[in-house]
Amino acid sequence: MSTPATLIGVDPSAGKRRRLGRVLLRDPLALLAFLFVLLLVAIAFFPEFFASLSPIRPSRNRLQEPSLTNLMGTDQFGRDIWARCVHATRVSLSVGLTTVAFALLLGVPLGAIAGFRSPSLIDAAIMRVMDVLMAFPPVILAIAVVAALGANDVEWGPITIPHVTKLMLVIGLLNVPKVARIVRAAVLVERNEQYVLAERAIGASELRIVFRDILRNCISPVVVYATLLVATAILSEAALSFLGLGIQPPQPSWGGMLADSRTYVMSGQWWLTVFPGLLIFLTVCAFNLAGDLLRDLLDPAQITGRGDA
Amino acid sequence: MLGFLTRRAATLAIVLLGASLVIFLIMRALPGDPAIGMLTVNASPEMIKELRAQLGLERPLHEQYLRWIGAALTGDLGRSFFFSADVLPLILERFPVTLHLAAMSLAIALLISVPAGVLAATHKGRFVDHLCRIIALIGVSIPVFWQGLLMILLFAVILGWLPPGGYAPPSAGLVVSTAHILMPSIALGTAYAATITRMLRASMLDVLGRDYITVARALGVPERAVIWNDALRNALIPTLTAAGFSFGYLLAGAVLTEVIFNLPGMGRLLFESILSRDYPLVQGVVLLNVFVFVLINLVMDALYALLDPRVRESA
Amino acid sequence: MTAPLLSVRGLVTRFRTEVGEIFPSRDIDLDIAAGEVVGLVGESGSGKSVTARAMVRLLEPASAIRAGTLLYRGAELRALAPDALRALRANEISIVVQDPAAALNPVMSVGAQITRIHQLQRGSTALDSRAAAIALLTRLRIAEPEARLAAYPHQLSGGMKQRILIAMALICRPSLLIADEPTTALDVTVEAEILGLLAELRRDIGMAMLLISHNLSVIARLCDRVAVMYAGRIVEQGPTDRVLAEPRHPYTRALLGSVPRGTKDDGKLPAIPGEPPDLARLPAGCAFAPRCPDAAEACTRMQDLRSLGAGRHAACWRAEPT
Repeated sequence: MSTPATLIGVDPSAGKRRRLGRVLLRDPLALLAFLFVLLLVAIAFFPEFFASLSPIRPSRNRLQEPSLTNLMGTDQFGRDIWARCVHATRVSLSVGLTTVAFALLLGVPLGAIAGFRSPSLIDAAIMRVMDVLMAFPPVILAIAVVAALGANDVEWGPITIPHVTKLMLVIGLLNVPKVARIVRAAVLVERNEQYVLAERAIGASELRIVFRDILRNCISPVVVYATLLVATAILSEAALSFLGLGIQPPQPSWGGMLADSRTYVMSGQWWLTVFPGLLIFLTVCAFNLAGDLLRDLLDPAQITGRGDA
Repeated sequence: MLGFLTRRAATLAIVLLGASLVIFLIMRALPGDPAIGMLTVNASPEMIKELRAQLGLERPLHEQYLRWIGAALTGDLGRSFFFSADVLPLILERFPVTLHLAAMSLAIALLISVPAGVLAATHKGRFVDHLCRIIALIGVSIPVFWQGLLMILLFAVILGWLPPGGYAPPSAGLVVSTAHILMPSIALGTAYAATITRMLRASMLDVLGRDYITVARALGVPERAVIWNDALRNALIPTLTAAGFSFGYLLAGAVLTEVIFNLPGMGRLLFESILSRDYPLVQGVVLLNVFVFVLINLVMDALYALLDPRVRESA
Repeated sequence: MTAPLLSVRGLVTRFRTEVGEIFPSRDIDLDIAAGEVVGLVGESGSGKSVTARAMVRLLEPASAIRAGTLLYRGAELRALAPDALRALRANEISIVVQDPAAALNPVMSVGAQITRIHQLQRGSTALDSRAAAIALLTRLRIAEPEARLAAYPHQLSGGMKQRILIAMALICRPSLLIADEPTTALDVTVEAEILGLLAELRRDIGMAMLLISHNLSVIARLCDRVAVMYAGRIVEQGPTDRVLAEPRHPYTRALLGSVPRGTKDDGKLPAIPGEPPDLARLPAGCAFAPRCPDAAEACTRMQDLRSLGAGRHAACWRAEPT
């Protein structure tokens, strides 16, 4: 990542594209991960296509074992679990992605400013605030905030914030520090490069230097971390839903379904537990794998460290 | 070294102060009246008013914060509504359980991750490495609450080997105590182990490529010493720092684990206090969690300085 | 004539990389007699470091050595069991590397790093090793050696670190030292000191040395014989003074011509035209031909090292016998 492509006249991304293709073909696990994510996106967009039964209408077929009509069995209200899982995909994925988007929206500029201005008061101030946020064991602060705000939609003056949005904001905010740190570290490395010094010499404005050029070269570790962050966000949402603080019934959510299954564990209705959890697991796994893969490709210097729950 | 630690402690104290401010603001300054939340929707305006005065909610914000912090520093974290008892003793009562769980989980995690991380690195690219990496991926991706439920299904319901929940302190007998703490510790410990394994593997791979390892081998140091002494000592350093940081995940996971396995620890207390809208208790537990987390990081810093002589003199 | 200490014939090394297979050593023949200093000189990328390490089986991975016989005191190194090979380390064969900062373990005191080699390989007690270390450090002109032993690498200067590395390598009095660019990372003044120390100690111990460098003045100072490497092959070898005074291979000539002499001719630094070859894409014939001023049609065929008499060899059909 030393010199931007324009200066040498070489297109580095061509090499990366080729490598992505080769790696995907060579590593079947990575290929599987990517395909699975694509499948999830498809399910999220068109749940009705994948599940014909209703996820919220109760029926009399309560607590049925998995069968040909109900591939994953039915729950205590007779609802088809497969249908519920399918419909829960949309919420989980959107929470995951939006959370990350929010974390990036705040984290990238903060990290960039801190890194570019380092060492300075504003750098120290930003990083101290980040430190404070990071002093909280992750889910605990989310629990506290969500608990304080209640599980309903919040009225803040004229704006009504739906509960789901509240969730995404909170989890996103908690992950801002890590994004900021990564961006800051990358910017610290980049700003000593030749092209930055050259641009400063010709008097380009700082804003332009930072946001147009430096960040372009810092994208790699951010992309890697963002992918891993989706995994963490989905896990966080599932945990909160499990505790009853996340997605509220009757809207299906994987975590919520797991919470419901607790009552039936002792009586052996295993399908209530196994299937929703399996979906969380596979989704998180897929994103973690994708993140690892991207890291091997884009960030061999391991600026990102590791990402997990 | 002492200077380094005092400086770190000072920084962490500031962070702790900042965190307390955040906790306070969350509880008090966000929309929604805690008094209403605590009573019910049917409460009369007089009851609400009385409660607010009792909680000191009518006073200016900064005054409320200072009173709370001042009291906290003397050990008075307020009074729980639900339990009608002081917050701090309530939490401290539950603390040993969480400590027991955390200690067991940590032990299991280290027992698994240190050999796994080293083996994966030294056999890079071979079967052992791939196996460790896949298991680590699974460990990191599996939701701890699902893992707990699955374990209960398998070991308690289907096989009947272990109790499905509850807690027995070590004083009640080591076998019984371990039987109850085993599944939750494994659930929590494996996730942590997976994280540490990944970190250690990466760290070892980095270290094994360094010149001083090559030189040690070239001058006749046996391979076992090269790996477990020369390399590991260096590889543990960044791993420990990151592991200390990841400890926060352990604390967070403890909440979920205690809820599932019915362990009367700090985590379950947090959950219950939220359900019952017991704000002083919530504040107190969150604050204490942050405190423990910060303390762990300080301990990790001390370990770091112990292991790495370069750090002891750094500014 | 006594058998050489180390006799290498037909050494070939190979690495598989993303850009293809590269052969840092191709058909290397080299002898090192007991007590002799042999220089291995070449540009970066000529394969000299890899070749030198391969010669004493210090190359990782072990599979990188594809062919060749490596006779140390008559025993074939490639046939030795790992324990037997390990017993040779430090006792018989030692190494000093280029970057002392990277070569010392940052979390161990330098004293521990030196004494444990002595304890492991000589089986001596902690007390004896410490005494030997102190004696050696004194010999290396390090002041207050006892205090130094407790220091950590980051507390020492570059020259001091290199002395520690030398102490580690020589504490068991080996018969052969591989010195891979031992002074390249040091200041010029420190370099002179270290080279002087190396020369003295070598005489004291009666040690042979394989000195690798891209710096001809270093080679000229210490080496009895020199081998010039280019693109994985030895293109010229012979007694140092002869080779440097009358080079017989165009590459050696070019190397000597490109050394800055400090005189102001026309102000231009003469450089060898062209670039060092890509080890993954070598021409079929002489690898230097694309940059050689005297290249001809015959150069498209591989040039073997031919004996020119008086212990001199060159891999060029134009080289005249003595």
